[in-house]
Amino acid sequence: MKKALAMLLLVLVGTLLFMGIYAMEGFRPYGEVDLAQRVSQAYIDKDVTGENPEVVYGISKDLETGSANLVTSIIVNYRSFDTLGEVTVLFLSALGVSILFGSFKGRLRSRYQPNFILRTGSKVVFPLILIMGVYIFIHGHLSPGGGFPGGSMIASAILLMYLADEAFRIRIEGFKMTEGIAGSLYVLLGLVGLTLAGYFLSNFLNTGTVGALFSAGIIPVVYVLVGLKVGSELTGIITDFLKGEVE
Amino acid sequence: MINPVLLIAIPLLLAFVSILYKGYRNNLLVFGALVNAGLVLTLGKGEYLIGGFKPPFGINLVLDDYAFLGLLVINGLFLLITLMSLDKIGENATVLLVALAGLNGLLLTGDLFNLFVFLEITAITAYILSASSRQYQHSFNYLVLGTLGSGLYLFGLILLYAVFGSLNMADLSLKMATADTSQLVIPSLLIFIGLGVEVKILPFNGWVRGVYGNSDSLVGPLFSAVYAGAMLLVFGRIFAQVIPLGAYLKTLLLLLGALTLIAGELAALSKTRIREILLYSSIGQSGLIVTLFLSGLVFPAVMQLFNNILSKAVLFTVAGQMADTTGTDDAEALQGAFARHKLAGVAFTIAGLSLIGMPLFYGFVSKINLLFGVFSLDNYWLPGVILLGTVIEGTYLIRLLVKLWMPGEEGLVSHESHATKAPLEIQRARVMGIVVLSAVLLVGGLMPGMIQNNLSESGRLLDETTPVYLFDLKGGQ
Repeated sequence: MKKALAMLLLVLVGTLLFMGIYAMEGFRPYGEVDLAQRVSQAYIDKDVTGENPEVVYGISKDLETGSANLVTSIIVNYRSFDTLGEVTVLFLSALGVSILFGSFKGRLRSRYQPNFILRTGSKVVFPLILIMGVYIFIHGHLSPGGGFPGGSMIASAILLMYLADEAFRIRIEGFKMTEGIAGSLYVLLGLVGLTLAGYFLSNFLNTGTVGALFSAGIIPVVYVLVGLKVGSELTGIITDFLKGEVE
Repeated sequence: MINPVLLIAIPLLLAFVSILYKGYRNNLLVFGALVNAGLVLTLGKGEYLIGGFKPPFGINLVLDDYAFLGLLVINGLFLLITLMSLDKIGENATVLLVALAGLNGLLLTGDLFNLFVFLEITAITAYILSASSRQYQHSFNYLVLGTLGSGLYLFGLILLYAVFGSLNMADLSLKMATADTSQLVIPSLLIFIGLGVEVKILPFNGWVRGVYGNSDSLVGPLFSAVYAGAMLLVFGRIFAQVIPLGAYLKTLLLLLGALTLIAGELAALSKTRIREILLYSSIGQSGLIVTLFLSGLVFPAVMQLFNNILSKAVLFTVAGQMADTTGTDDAEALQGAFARHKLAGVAFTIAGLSLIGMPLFYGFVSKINLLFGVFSLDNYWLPGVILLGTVIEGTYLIRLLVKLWMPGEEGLVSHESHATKAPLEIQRARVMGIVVLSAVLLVGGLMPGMIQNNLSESGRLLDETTPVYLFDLKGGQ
């Protein structure tokens, strides 16, 4: 009875939401939005702080944000404060997991023993995944990707090793150290910006030419820090979740 | 001038550092809380940009009277509660540091998405802290409800962005003021539900009983005072200053607020466990404050909010301490407990009476202010509901106070032989803390002029370019 009632309520609320949203005049279909009416256009033209001619890949110099990747320029430059917050969210989640699972020792075992091919094959793939992860967060300002996906790839490489090798262990202290240092450096970078340019997290380095590897000021630095931090945090979460068997 | 972003950056930095130096976690926490409480006093009001991009493109922090008062009280309370219950912190020092950063972010930010990020941060710290009671099922309930709530908030915000193309509070409120209110119904409802979980509005507050009801002398006052205060201030910021509500929607939400008030107070009346009485009183008070914010009575709402959280910090500290040391917080089992703990008893009594709104205490000032405000509204049922709530609140709080001072059956002459034998202990740090808090309530009640004048001297803060943030301290918006 209770379940049926909940179901009915869910359907009712869903229908109302659906109808309500489609009745909103301002809610335009995809492609019909006038970008000039919203904040997006300024991000595309990179002219938030002043007039700016057309942005040309590989030629335009010293823009307010030198990132060729539009999404990165928003995430790590215009709205970098949100990213600092999201990094903190992940930090907290990992911390919460480690507080909850802190009392557990040992690790869970799967019912299937990894065979020789899986063990050896994973060892071959492991460094490749690591390098790919690092590549992705180093090139976050140029190509799709960035600190979060790059860090997740690093953690996935560790997960692979855990799954492929029962005897695989990592020293979690090293990852905690990386996590703490990378987080502190991100905040410190913001504070340096506050001292040098007067604004927290401002891009105080030269932004260089759009599309060059060494460009976009502090964006690649931030992404490397985020990548290391996300990688070590997710590794910590994986390690904690694999705990459980009291030895 | 000190940039208020330091209030967020410093605790966050200390939190990351505390991972590296585990042995010094508690020292770092106390240091962070002290620095923050000191910094608040030196803040210069105004608008501060992050990253140097002007709003609505970049994120800005807004430090007006509203935010400043919130920061002052929240940081002060945080420091006091941390010092009071230092022995209860255990593994949670890092979590508390992040919580401090998140709470300050909630109060300061001028951007709705940034607010969401800080909501997430603060909520996750709350989930972790609530798990320290080892009642994992209640924490899990809270986690699920809270996450769903933040999700709905985000959904509402996405709709607002889709329609108005901006996330900045001031910009959005200018755009929304001229928009057709039918456009705003669904987004504002979603945001209301999202915040309603944290603010404890009636259909969304199922988590409160399990979490508040099992809180110790650290988590209890933190949740009921610091977290509840910050979340209500966020609610007031959004619904009294940013999102304009249409007439029908406003009546609906007002009804929900009033219902929360009456239902919370009635539930408190029927309970015998002290923490349950207090938690239902908290729900009732949230309903009252939400109602005031929705009616546009910002200043009375803020005053009542401070009255509520200052009192609740004292009440929950004592109640949590009772449960920690005696294993029970049933009023029946603890009758006459204050005979041996007179100082704590006096502080508890002051807080309780101030919460009801008795003369001599700060609560009276805020209640008078609030009633003047409500009677000046063009509303015939709201004053009645609020007065009814106050009467019920007075009934159960005074009954509780009598029980804790005077052992014995109700209606019979009190006798020492009924007094509790429970081994109640209250550490000196906690007694000192609650005495300070109740002294604030007493001074606020005896010299209402002092507080009010200081508040209005701080005056209007922001220039005319962001009219949305201007609100007159004396009579709402």
